[in-house]
Amino acid sequence: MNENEANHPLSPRKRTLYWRLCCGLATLLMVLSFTPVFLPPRTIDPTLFGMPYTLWAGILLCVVMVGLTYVATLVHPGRDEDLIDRQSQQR
Amino acid sequence: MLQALLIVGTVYVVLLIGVSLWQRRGPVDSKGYLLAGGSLGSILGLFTFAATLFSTFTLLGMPDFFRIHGVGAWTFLAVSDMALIFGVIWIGYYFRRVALREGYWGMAGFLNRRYGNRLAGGVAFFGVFVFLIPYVAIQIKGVSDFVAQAFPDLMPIWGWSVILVAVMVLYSELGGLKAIVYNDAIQGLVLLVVIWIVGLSCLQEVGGLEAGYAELRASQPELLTVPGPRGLFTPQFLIGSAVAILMIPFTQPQVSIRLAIMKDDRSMYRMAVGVGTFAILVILPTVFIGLYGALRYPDLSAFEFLGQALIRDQPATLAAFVLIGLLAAAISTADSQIFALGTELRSILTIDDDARLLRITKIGIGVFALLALAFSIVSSDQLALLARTSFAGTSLLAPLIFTAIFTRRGTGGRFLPLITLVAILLFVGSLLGLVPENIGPLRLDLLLLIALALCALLLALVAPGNLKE
Repeated sequence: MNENEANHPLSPRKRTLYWRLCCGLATLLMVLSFTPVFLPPRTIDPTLFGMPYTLWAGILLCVVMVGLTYVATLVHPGRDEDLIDRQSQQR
Repeated sequence: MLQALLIVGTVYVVLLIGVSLWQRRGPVDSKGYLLAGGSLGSILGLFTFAATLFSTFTLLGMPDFFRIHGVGAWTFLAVSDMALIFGVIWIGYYFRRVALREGYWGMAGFLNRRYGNRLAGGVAFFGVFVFLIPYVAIQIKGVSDFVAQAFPDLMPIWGWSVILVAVMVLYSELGGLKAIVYNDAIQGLVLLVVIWIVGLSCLQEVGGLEAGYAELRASQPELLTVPGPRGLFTPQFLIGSAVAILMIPFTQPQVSIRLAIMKDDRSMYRMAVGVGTFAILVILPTVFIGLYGALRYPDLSAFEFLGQALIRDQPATLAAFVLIGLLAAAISTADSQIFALGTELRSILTIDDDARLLRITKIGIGVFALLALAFSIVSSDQLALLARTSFAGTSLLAPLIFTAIFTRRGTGGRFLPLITLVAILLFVGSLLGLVPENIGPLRLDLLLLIALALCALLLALVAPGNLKE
């Protein structure tokens, strides 16, 4: 195990697991976003702050996706390779 | 308002050219000029990526999409952008690994090396040329039409187009990609601030979100649902658009070069999260402007509505800033596209003399700008739909590019570039009315993409060594 991997709060195995979970969740959300779950035809209710369902659910989905992308960057399997590359270049 | 525009406009142009001159200091070689030194940090990366991605189409096309076709426009662009940012961290990582190992100068050159023949790069260059020139042209046309409408007696439309292209070429040629990147940061901020001020003003005019949507529900309830009053936002249209948008970072060279020149992978990851946030922030106010348009100007044409909502209904100084914001949106995308075409041209040339290569690239950039200017004079005003056509057209290159990223060198040989060329020609044929737009229930662009993807997958599976890797 290298220095950067040792400093990471999660073991490489757990990080790979979380990375896969993020990828699976992102794929699932994106697939659902084009189904009647997020785009029910000719349906306005329930509304939120006056906004129709399709709009507010879409906005919420985007906020969740940005959060999920952020989490995915923290557990990305290539996160440490990059640091190792830079450190070896500096040496 | 003219006085306000002249003052704000002069400050803006001086700022752009000043940045270019500042970036021009020191010796100029291909890496510095075309790749901005290859060390882009996350903040600059975020703004240049966002400013390149969000164009006139966002500021002019999206409010009109919300006004005419309803709330499905959010899924059309914002949700698709979320797929794009996740794609950047997922596929971008592998793209950078292979691209940096190969010595990336442009997608066409990269494909030449990966496929081991010049047909692959030639097809990629042809594809981006055919679909980017019209896209650049609609940026120029959109803004020129708009400014000409605001000042009808001052100058003809083509006069505004010439000024726009001249400013763009001047600062791009002067400072190279680094100048474009810094100017993108300025333009991205201007775009964001302007669109929010106008969006909030429109929201206030309709009495807030709840009152606005209650009024719209009473008058045009179809705008609050999918597929919208004209039936545009069908699942197939939205999925086709999302697939095309998802592939932009890899199929549109002005975006893929920004991934390749990020300082490191971490900067790219942070940039992707930032772009997602920027996407929500920049598209949200267009919902408010669209709502305002649907209530106040439901029957006007696109440009009449935009002229009213963005210029005539706003105070003079704000209207001047709106025009500058529009100019910023158009220039920041168009300059990157024109510059990327120049870079693509450079990447497929086999000349050893760097100074000569750079000279040819600069001439190429000028020629591409002139072609886009000529096309802008004859193109239509369907901003959002023409932009989508550009995304869909370049997305046909995706199987070719992904095969180069994910498989061993030489996989696909000449066959994959050749069938990609056929698919591009068929799609162009459908745009010209020579080939049907739909084959059975499927849109031709989606069908071609599926067919190319299946061929690429099959070639990857049968090529020796890929399965093992």
